Amino acid sequence: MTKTPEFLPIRELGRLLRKKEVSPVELAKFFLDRLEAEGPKYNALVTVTRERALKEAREAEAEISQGRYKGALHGIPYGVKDLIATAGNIPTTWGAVPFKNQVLDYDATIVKKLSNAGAILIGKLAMIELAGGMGYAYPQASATGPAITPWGNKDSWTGGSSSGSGAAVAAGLVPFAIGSETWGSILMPAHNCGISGLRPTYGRVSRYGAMPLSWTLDKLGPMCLTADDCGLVLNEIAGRDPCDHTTSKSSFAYDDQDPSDRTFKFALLKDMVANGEEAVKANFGESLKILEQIGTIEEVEFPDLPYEAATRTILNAESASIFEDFFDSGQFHELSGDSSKFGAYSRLAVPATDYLRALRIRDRICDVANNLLGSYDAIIGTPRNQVATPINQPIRVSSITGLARDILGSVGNIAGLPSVAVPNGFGDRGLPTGIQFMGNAYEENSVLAAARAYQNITDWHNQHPSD
Amino acid sequence: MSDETVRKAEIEKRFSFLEARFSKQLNEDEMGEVLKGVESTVDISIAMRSFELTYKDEPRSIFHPYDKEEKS
Repeated sequence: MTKTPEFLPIRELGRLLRKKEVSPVELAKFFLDRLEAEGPKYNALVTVTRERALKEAREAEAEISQGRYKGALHGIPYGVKDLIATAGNIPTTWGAVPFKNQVLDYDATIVKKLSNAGAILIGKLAMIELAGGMGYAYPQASATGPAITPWGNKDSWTGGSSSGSGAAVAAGLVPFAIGSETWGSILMPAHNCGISGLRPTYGRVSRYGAMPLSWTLDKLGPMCLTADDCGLVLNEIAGRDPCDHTTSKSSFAYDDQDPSDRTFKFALLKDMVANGEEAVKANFGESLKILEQIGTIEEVEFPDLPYEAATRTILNAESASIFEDFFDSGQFHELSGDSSKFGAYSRLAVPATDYLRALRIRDRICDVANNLLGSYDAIIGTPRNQVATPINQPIRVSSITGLARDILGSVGNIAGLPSVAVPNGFGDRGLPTGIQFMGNAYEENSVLAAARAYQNITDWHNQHPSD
Repeated sequence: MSDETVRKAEIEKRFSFLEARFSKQLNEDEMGEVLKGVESTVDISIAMRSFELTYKDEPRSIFHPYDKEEKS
């Protein structure tokens, strides 16, 4: 290889592989070595899957050399958040000490789909324990320690819970990674790590083989260098799965036509950044000026509904049921989080009527979101209103517990709407900020087109941290 | 009864259930965190109950009988 490939987008790596200018084995070895050497610096790594990766890479090499090129991900290395089951005697730790020796020994549907597309699994990536579902006040709530964003002074948090996925993509240790989001866990690390992350529509991607935290809120999605790469990955992982009855019958085909000539219609949530850091406000203001070049922007306001309370109640009740035996086991003490984690026991006392009320309110919220967003390509906002927190400080805002406001996050997740976060500048301590494009259910192509159009005229996604 | 009295009663009720179930497993400080969690989840419940629903409002997730075609 004449040029090091660590920060090449999937589309470019695919072109090199297809033209046989680089071999899948060579590429896999490059990223395996890089992930193994650099991953621990960021507390981003749980397990390197070298044996499996080289086997898959040799298969890809043989196929490509015989002219059997499978598509955009053929021969591309990737990592998965360590809550996704993988065969081959590889642990799936859920980021938590009590599960550090757990071996599920089957491939989650998403891993099977990526294997079928010819992608090469090179590692399992760090995460906040149990996907942050038990609540946490510090980034230390992970079996592998606090994950560190490669930006700034390398002393700030990646965000969670797809922490390792965010750090590994940002540091050029994997060309793409799979994360999961129940409420904020893809968009937040994408923001803190200065990368592009897509939360697909609920049911777009099979959850089979992924740790459940909340059956009706959990989504799996790609974390990449560009929005275009997110589309390429979604194209391979989307689809109906008989093993996950919540997967949608709607098919998905990534529309990668150049969006430069499109005129977008954006909605802007009123007072979106009112409580944000100055740099977040300034960068968001600059982003709006850029978006005015490619579309119209209308300010909108969501009607007064208990968005966050309903979302929290669903998450609390479902996670309590999923982990009830774990609460009873006493192993909760082995988790790495601070003592505030014990607050999660309270979820076992949420009344069934409250859970059902939340599901009834969810129906109203879906209608509200559809009515409000229906005529727009995307609603724009920030994934977070502050840059990454130093790893030794408490996380400043958590919407999962308490009564903190997060309208876009709660509406997006309770209504299962797709959203893509992309970088839009830098703030305090040289840390990245971001912008998100959230759209109507099943309209990933619209939000991806908007994000790609934004990235066509900005350069933030082409800036990378030094090792 | 005032709203605060109802809130406190609900907190006590939920906490006493959790105390009975987990006080052998959790120490006093840990039970203190459980109490904070209960206060938070009760406040969330109150916020949610303040939103008026009608008999037409059904849960978004409803039961689907087994469907052979769906499984295929």
